[in-house]
This record gives sequence, C-alpha cells and structure tokens, in this order.
Amino acid sequence: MRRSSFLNIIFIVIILIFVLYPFYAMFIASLKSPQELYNIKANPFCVQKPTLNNYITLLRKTNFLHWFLNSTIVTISTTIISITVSVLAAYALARLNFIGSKVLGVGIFIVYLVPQTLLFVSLSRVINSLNLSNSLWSLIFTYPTFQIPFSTWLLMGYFRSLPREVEEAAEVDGASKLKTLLKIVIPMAFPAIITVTLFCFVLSWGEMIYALTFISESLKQTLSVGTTTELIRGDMFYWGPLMAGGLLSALPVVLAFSFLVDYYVSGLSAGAIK
Amino acid sequence: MRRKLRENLIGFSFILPSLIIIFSLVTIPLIMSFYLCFTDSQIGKLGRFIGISNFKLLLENSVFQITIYNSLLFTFISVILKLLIGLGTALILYNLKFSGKSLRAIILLPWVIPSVFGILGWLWILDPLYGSLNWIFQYFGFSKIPWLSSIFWARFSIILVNTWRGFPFFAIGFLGALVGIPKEIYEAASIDGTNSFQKFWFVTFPLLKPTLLVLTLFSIVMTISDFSIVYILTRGGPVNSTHVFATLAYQFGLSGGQIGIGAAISLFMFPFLIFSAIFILRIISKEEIY
Amino acid sequence: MPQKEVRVKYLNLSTYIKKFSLKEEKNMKKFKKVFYILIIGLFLLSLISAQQQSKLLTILTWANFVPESDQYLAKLAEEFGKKYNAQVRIDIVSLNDFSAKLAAEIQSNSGHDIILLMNYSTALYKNYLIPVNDVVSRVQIIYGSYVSAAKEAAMIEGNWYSVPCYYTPSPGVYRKDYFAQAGINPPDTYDELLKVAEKLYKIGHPIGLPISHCGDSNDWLFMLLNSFGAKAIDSKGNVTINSPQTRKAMEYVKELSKYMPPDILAWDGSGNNKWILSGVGSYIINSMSVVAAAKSDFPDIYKNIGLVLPPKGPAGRFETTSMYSYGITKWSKNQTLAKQFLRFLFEENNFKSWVEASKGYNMPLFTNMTKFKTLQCWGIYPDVEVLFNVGKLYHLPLWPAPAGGSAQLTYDSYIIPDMFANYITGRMSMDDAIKWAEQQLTQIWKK
Repeated sequence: MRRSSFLNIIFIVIILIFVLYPFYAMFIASLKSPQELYNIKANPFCVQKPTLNNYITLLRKTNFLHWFLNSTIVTISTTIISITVSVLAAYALARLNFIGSKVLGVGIFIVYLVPQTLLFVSLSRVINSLNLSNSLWSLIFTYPTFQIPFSTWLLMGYFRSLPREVEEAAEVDGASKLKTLLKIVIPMAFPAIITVTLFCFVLSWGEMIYALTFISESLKQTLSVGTTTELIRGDMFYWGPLMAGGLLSALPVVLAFSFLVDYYVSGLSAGAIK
Repeated sequence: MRRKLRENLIGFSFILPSLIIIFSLVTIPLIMSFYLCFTDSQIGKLGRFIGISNFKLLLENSVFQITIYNSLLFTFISVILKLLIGLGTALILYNLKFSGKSLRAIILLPWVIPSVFGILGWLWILDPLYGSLNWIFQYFGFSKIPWLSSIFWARFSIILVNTWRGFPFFAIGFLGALVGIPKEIYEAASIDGTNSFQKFWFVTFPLLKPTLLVLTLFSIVMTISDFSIVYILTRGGPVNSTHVFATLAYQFGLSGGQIGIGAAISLFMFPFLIFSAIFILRIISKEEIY
Repeated sequence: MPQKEVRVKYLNLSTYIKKFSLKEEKNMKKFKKVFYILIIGLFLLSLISAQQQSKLLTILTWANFVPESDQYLAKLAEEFGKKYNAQVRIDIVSLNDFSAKLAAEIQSNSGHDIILLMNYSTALYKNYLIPVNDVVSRVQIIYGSYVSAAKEAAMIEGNWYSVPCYYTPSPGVYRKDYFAQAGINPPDTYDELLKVAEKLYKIGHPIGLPISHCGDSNDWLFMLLNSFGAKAIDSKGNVTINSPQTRKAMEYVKELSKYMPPDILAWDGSGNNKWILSGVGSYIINSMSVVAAAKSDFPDIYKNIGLVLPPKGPAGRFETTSMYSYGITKWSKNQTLAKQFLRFLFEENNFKSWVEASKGYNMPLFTNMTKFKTLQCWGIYPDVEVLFNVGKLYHLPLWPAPAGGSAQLTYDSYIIPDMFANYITGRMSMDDAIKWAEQQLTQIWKK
C-alpha cells in the first residue's frame, strides 16, 4: 500500500511538471522586456528585470478586454444552449427507442465528423445570407454544432450506465419521462453533466476558425483571433504581450472551474443514490 | 397510458426543434463540403463533377501519401498516450484525498487555455535559439535537440504538444465516470477479498468502458482533424514530414484555391470514421451494465 | 436490499410530483410557448441588429507589421468618411490567417468592399474583382509608372484588377562589425556570398537563409533560381525545373548550407529576424522588419546594421518579396465609393503620409522614387539607396510563370524549398530531388 501511494505521488508530480512547464515558461516570458527576451545568454527560467509592460500593453493598448468579454458571452450562451439540448437529446436516445433513434444518433455524429476547417468555407455563405456575419450571433448559432454531438454522445453513454430501476420506479408512480429526467436522472448524472459542461466551455473558449471567418471587426472579435491578429504582425511576434494574453485567457477559467470541479468530485458521488 | 404518450411527445417535440434549427444551419454546408470532393472546384468557381479523380490524384501524390502516414501515426500514438496518461491521472486524483481541488484545476490548464496560446507557448519552448529545453540540455553539457528541424524530432514535438493539450480531456472524462461508480460495489468487492489491481480490472475498467469508448472516439476525430498544432509549429515541414490532413487541405484548398482537392483531403478519413462510429455505437448499445 | 430502499424514497418523491403534475402540465405548456417566442424573437432581433447602413464601406487588410500604418489608415478612413458622408470600417486580419478569411469571402460571394490582394491573389480571384483601370491611370499620372512586378501581379489580360499599393523590400541585411571582423565586404554576387559564408561561419557568426516551409524560403530560393538562369516554370506555364542551371543552383545551395545552422530547416518567417536580433547571425535576406525591431529594442545591433542589394548570379540580380494591392469586389454595393476611397488614398499628401506613418516599411512601387526620397522615415535605415534600387529588380516569385492559381499553389506548397532541403540533407540524390519537384509541379501545372 505504501509503495503504491509513493508511486502515485511520483506519477502525479511528473504530470504536474509536464502540465505546468509551458505555463511557467509563458509566465516568465510575459514578464521580460524584449531586450531580455531576445538575449541569447539570458536564463529562460528567471527574470532579471521583471516588467509589467507586457500586461499593460495588452490591457491598455489592445482590445483584449473586449475580446475577453466577447468570448465569455459566446461561451456561456452556447454552453447553456448545448447542454440543454444535449441532455434532452441524450436521454431520448439512451432510454427511448423511438423510430430513427439510431439514425439520429449516428446523424449527430456525422455532423461532427466534417472538420470545421472545411465546413467553415461553405458555412460562411449561409451565415452571410442570414445577415449574421460580423456579429456574435453567428458564433452562438454555430458553436452548438460541434458542442452538441460530443455532449450528446457522452451523456448517452453515461445515461445508459445508470440503473434503470430508479427510473422505472418513478415511472410506475406516474412521473412522465420528462419529469423523470428532470427530477431523478439529472441529479444522478450530475458529474457527467458537469464534465460535459466543461467540455462545451473549452470547445467554445478556444475556437478560432469560425470566429476568424464570421467576425471581421476587431471590437467584436473573440480572444484567440483578436490577440493573435494584434500581436503577430507579419514576421514579428510580440512574445511578451502574447504570452501574457495566453495566461490571462486561461487562469480565470481555471479558477472558476476549480470550484465546480471540487463540487462534483467531492460530494456528488453515486452516494446520492443512497 | 395515453396521457403518458402525450407527455412523452410534448417532452421530445421539445428537443427536435432545437436540433432542427441547429442542424439546418449545417446541413447545406455539410452536403456542399461532401459534394466538393467530387468536383474540380476552385474557390469561387464551382467546378464540374469529376467522380473520384481527386482521390486518384491524391493517392498518387507522394506528399499526400506521407500525409496519410503522418495523420495516422500522430493520431494512433497521441490518442493512446492521452488515454493512458489521462486514465492514470484520473485514477490517482480519484484516490487522493488531500488538496485534490487545486490539483484537479491545474490538470485542466492545458485543455482550457485556448489552443493557439498553448501552442505558441510550446513554439517558444522549442525555439532553436531561445528554447528553454535546449537551454537545459546545453547547461548540462548535452547538445541541442533539433525539435522542429529534424523529421524525427518534429514528429515527436507534434505528438508531445498534442498529448500535453489533450490528456486532461481523458482525465476529466474518466474522473467524471469514476465518480459515478457507486462505492458499494467497491465495498462489496473488498468483502470478497479482491486486491486493488483486481478491483481495477474487474470492477472499474468494465464500468468505464462506455466512457472510454466515447472519449476515444471523439479524441480520434479531434486528433485526426487537428490543424493548429502542425500549422503553428511546422506548417507541415520539414519536407512535409508533419503534414496532416487539415494542414494539407488548407495548403491546397485555401491558400492555393483548389477547394475540390482540399475537400477531398479533409474528408479522406470520413468513411473510416463513420464505420468506427457505427461500430462503437453498436458496442455502447449492447453494453448493459445492470 | 438496496432496491427496496430506493423504491421507498422515490415513492415519496413521486407523490410529490403527482401533486404538482396538473400545475406542471399547464406550466409546461406556458413554458413551451415562451421558449418558442424567445427563440423566434432572438432570431428576428439578430436580423434587425445586423442591418447595416447602406453607405458603409468595409475594407479588409492585414495587420501591418507597423501598427502606426494601420492607425494612419483608420484616421484616413475617418477623414474620407466625413468628406463623402459615409462610414468606413477597416478590418485587420493576421497575415497567417489571411488566405482563409479571403477564401471564405470569395466562396460566399459576400463580405468587404475593398480587399487586400497579395502576390498572386489578384490573378487567382480576378473573377470577383472589378477592373480599376481608371484608378490606376490616375495613380500613374501622379507618380509615374509602376515597376514591372506591379504589372505582373495586378494587370491581367490588359486590365488592372487591383491597385498595387506597396511592397516590402527584402535586401541583404548584414552586420557590419562581423564582416569587418572577418575582414570581408558585403557580398555582391552569390560566389562572394559563399566565400563570405565560410569566413563568417569560422568566426561563429554564420549567415542564415531559411530552407523550410515559410514564405522567406520561397522568396530567396526563387531569387536564387532566377539568378542562376533556372526557371521552375517558363512564361508559357511549362515545367522547366529540370535543367543544368537548376543543378548548378542545387550544388551551390548544398555548399552554402555547410556554413549555415541546421535550424534553417525549420525556420518560420520570424526565424531570420531572431537570427540577427539574437546577435548571433551576420547576414540574412529579409524585409525591414528586422531593422525596425533593432532600432526600437536593440541599439547595439542597430548601429551595426548595413543593407546591401541581394546577390547577383550568372543570369542577373533578382528580388522577390511580398506585394500588397487593394481590389474592389464585384459583390460590393459601394463600388463608386470604393474607387473614390482608393483615389483618396493615393492623393499625394495622403499616400506619402501613409508611407511616413509606416516608417518606410510600406515601400511604394513606382520606378521613379524621387517624390518619396524627401520623407523623414528613411532616416532610420542605413544604406537607404539600396531600398530604393531594389524595386527595379523585383519580380513575383515564380516569374516568368503566368500569374494565377497554379503559381499561388506552387508557392504555398513549398515545392522549391523542399526540393533543396531534400538534397542538402542527403535524403535524396540531386536527380531524385529534382525529379520529385518536377512531378509535384507537373501535377499543379498540367493543362
């Protein structure tokens, strides 16, 4: 027992180093002035003359805060839409055997299979004809197309693995499918739903190609596109502000989720059934 | 009974409109994208139907052949690595009682940061002049590694960044599934006298199978269609040794304007992925745990 | 055992549900109605809010290396807007993402009124552009004729389909101090470059020319091929890469690569910049981005930088770099306004101020540069005459190949850099490398 927990700790430490190394590198780079950054003799692991200029440039001289806000709006709304649709669709596909349920299941997956890097070319035509171009709505309508297939499938697998007896008990007592879903299944499936919420969030937060194509105006841009457009000019990378932007786009999200993750892992094990 | 049927219909006519709105947005572009594979279209110029000529042309092209190899190589190795590391991480996090909260949040970081920033971070780490990894090697007297200029190391770097970015996906997915396993099962198993390995293999693993299958399937799709890592780190080089479907399709279809060929490249894996989907759907339908 | 417990618990729950089931049904119906109204309402709202003013002129351009250039353009747009009672919006896109954005607009036959067209894009998307002969004639009356490269890019079948604005000259950029240290002069020919490379390698400050998947690789290798009299594609579109001149060029690059770091096989556009800015490198062929960066952040390097024309080969001296033109789209509903804007942009004061704002990075494309020589911005460049003289040597990368989709695809497929890379790394023999390139080119240029 002791040996295995020792190994566990070694493994986790290695994983942590692996995970955090690039963030540390980004952190250091974000505090360096160009002179230090491009100094071939400088130590890449510490900063001689730390400066906050990169952060100041990023926040004051670019539209970073707008981009952050836009990303937040799009991500929250699309996540809500996608989770709602996916939970309902996944439950229907997992428990009901209505005509065409198998076809619908595979159909949802097929939509996901066409890569965005190809789809966006034809999709932009549709978006333009709906007069949605250069507006966050274009993203709010299109992001669910890759959030829903994945969420539906994961939830479907999860719902199938839940014990039927509980649902059957509820139905015997007169609850409709919808109520069973809302009152019983969702609480039991909370961990999976949180997981899927996280996935939808991440898929939307880092999305680039649709944002690049459908939105042209800088003020309406999202994080990834806005920052790289402003800070990668031709063959010049403004590494300092760029790395600062990277950190600022990751940390708030992780902080927000650290609470959520704790919530689902600590309390809501299937002990809820008990 | 009738009331129940009505209620069911009400409930599920609820989903369908939402699904319809969303999928009507993509159906036409989807069909369009399919159709393009079989034409000689260029950007802005819808071409004629030419059957499978694009595919024939591509299969004879040595660059496309390497691309197939690269895509399959990267996907196969990355997905397996991500799965194993993710599973290991999830198991350990599940068992750890102390300061679990911050650890779980940290593990999320590579997945949460917008892809482009994470990759740029790695680009800086792997830079031939300023990269910190090479700095460490040189400090200890070793020679620099040509992270992006040698064929082997370039492929290694692509897989490395892919694994770094993607393993939290598996870790969190597995963690969510692990949490859903009722503790009584483990208690019952302990009473029967099983050790930890047997517990894992005979109890945990079968229960994780549906999650594993779905995560793997989606990871395969995401990895094989990935664009940013190769585009930002190597743009397909050196000498096309890291080109994947998405980057080659970009080169032909969007830069070069040959969208018919670009579509053919992008959708080359499509039949294979469809079969995998149907196969896995079958397995999941058959899995009756209880 | 557990099942019974579960049943008991949910029995209570279900009676709870039953009590409210009637109310729930009504609520459910109401909820459904509200939901659908919301969805439809949001949709309509989006349509309404997306309505734009009819007189909005939109311009799609790249995020210029010099942000002040973009800022000036925005200022100009405002002025123009006031003068002509319109709104002008300038949208910038990163250079790396530009082809994707442009392709999406062309494919959807809608988007901006004025678009940036680089290198071969004018020829590639000619069917979506309107002729701008009138604007160009006006420009040439004011400034004199364009250099030939501008005609190669923007004049197709006798008509101008875009208005060439500027290019970014890429001469040789070298460290005067390292050259002095090695006791040599900056190279004027490729032979001299080879000798110089060896000496600089010996003092630990090699030259650096990329042979990788980046635009810079394409540019200097096409320059090299042309200078050796080797042509990948001839003026009729035939594949002519397999020639003795190409062989000479290949041998030359193999020799030269001995004195360059292995990193060049992986450089992106910023690789050669970093090579100089790190203080390690002694010679690159690049645009003025490196000089501007040195001036602002690395004074020690800056004071030692010199410029020299790109080297001359047996068949002459050539220059290849990026060209930037503006075209007016066919789908634009503001074509007259767009033309007015372009004319406004090229008014002497405005255009000169634009060049000034870009700190000389946006180099005009006219054969006669006298009008521009009095600008202040040249002050930061050493050997500025080099910059003025490079324009006459400028050709599009695949010159003399016809401009169009095939040329663009050839450039973007990095066939030439790969051909060289395969040979110099020993992966392929010279014959095989050339044959491979020939195959690749034939597939693209087949009639």
